[in-house]
Amino acid sequence: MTLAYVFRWELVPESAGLLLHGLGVTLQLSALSFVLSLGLGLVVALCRIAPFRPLRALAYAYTQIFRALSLYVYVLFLYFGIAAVFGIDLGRFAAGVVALTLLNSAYMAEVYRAALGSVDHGQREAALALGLTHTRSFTSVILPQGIRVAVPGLVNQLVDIVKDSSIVAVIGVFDLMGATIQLVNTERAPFEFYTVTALTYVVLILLVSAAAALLERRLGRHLTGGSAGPGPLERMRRFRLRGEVPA
Amino acid sequence: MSEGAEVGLGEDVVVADGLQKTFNRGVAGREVHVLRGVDLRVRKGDVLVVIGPSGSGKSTLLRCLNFIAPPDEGSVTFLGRRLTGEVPRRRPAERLRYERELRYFRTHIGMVFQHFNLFPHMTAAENVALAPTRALGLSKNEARERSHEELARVGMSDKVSAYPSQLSGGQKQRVAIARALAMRPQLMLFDEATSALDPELIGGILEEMKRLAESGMTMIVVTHEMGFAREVGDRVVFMDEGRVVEEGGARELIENPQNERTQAFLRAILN
Amino acid sequence: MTSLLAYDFVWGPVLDRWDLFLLGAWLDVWVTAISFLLACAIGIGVALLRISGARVLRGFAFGYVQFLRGVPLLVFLYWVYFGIALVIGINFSPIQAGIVALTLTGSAYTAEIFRGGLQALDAGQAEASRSLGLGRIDTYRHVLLPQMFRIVVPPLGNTLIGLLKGATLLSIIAVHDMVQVANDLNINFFTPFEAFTAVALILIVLVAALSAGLSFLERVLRLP
Repeated sequence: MTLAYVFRWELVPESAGLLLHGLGVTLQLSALSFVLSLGLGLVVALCRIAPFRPLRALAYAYTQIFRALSLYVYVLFLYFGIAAVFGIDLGRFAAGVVALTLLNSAYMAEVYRAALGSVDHGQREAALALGLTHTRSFTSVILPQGIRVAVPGLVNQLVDIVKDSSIVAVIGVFDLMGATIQLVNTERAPFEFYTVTALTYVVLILLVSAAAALLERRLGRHLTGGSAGPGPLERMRRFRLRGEVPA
Repeated sequence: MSEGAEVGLGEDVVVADGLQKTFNRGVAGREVHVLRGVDLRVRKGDVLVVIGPSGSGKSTLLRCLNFIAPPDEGSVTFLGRRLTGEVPRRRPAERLRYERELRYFRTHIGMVFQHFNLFPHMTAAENVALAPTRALGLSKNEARERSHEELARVGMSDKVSAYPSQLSGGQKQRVAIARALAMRPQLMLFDEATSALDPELIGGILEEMKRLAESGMTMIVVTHEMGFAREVGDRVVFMDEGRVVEEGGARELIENPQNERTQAFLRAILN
Repeated sequence: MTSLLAYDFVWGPVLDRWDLFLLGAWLDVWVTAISFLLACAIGIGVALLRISGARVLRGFAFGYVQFLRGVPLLVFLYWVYFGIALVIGINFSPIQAGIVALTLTGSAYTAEIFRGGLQALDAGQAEASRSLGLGRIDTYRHVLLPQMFRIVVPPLGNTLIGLLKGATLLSIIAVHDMVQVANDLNINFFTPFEAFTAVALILIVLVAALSAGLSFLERVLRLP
């Protein structure tokens, strides 16, 4: 079968400059959103468990809504809808950051919440028994442990952020995907460029995942105080609840 | 019905010869040489008790006998049929014959596990009836009848429709025993059957095992229960670090161990 | 000072076309459904390859999963529709390209879910089953797979929801789903807020319905 397509791989190295520039934007976008949603997610998680009903309800609604939306719909809503309503020109990059941050903060909030909930209840009892106030026992005992448990889940969100960041290309942000689309339009070598870009994302994701796994191993060493790790029933339960693939 | 070769009293039911097994503990690439040349001989009607510290290879030994963890070296002869851990991979005809022999072993040897291993998505009756249906070819009705029979024998008639999650540890183990017995095995293997039970439930299971022994079942029992070993066992084997260190009559070995290591072990455990 | 007065909320055009929105939503739904079923079918196969004895098969399955989980849906969609289609000379319709992209990326997730489900099973179950004399096929059929299906339901449900969200991306290659309806509306009537709010609301309702259905299913299956 002779292909009607002429491969022009040489175009890729020629355009490396633009692609790398786009990659840089992708990295900036992802890093910024990641850091911001880490903070925002924690705030939302705290609201979720706050001893104040309206706050809890608000946070609950927040997470439910944002976990239901796709980034694409949300970007459109934000960039075209909200911007028109308030008459602000958000700027593409900013719109992308805001959308990514808001959306991912909802997932992070869930990770934080689960992590905080998993801290042994005995810890709280011990802290209170020692005479610490409720607030103190939370901030000094529960929270630090919870955050350590949360780290792997949080870092895994970075993977999703990097992948989702490609969507901002549709509103014209010059990230890696944006650069690729532009190059395809000018050079007309779609297969070559999209293949290279796809592979670049794959490599990027692999690096992030590897870093996350390393981090998890480093931190996990001090967490499980001498227990033999989750038993088979617990592994099943965790898999069911979080889709964690057992090692 | 099983096409069992009937073995007369006093004849060998199972003979193990030079069993070796090494496990590869994955990540760090460490190899654990669990069995270092074990020989074994059990006659019909005998109850052989295997004792020893954890890690001595007792559980692995049992698993070699019914080949759910095939030995790397050595052979097992069961009711006159000899099998090694080498799977003939090349010729399909030999492969099929090997598989058939394996199935013979497994359908005539019953095993009771420390953690019961009941199938959680089936009722007690279904747990017991599954293998007779699928591995022995019994009809659904025959299997159900046998299942109820065996469950009644272990005192679980009123729990035939219960799911494992609704049963206590002792009840689960009874069902597990019924499940193994429903295959009408010629040999029963017990792998620390009472170690995962609450203390007050241990006695009940040991009673079942004793009744089974008295009915003439050939049994190999791995346990820490020295009382059971002395009372019900015919012969005892002491294992340490993958080898048989001492073996002898149940009463003699437990009351009067000859080997130093055996003495140390018994001293520690009987205190 | 920017104020809300800069924008007049006009809900008319959106409300007039509620049927178009629903039709578009329906398109998203059935595209998702097809992709999900196909992704599960492929996923089971890949999962079995992943735990098979042959190293080549295992490696292939591993690579398959790693690649498809690392490519963003948008990139993969473009690659399928604009890239591969030209190379192998197949003229995908936008919907077909969309289903292919969704199915393949989804299958990477389902493969991992099924693999995890099989491996999460207690090793003792297979031991007990084999020691009773049940062959490998019977062991899978009666002991392992039934238990596995119960465990994988929740993560698969999440994958389904993820696919639905992914389906909303298809309007980029001119699939006429509800997002495209909103886009058209926006272009013609300049009502971005109303149009995209409508889409967002429909999406939220759909996801909420799916989540509720999933919870119900979990309860029915009597998961521990």
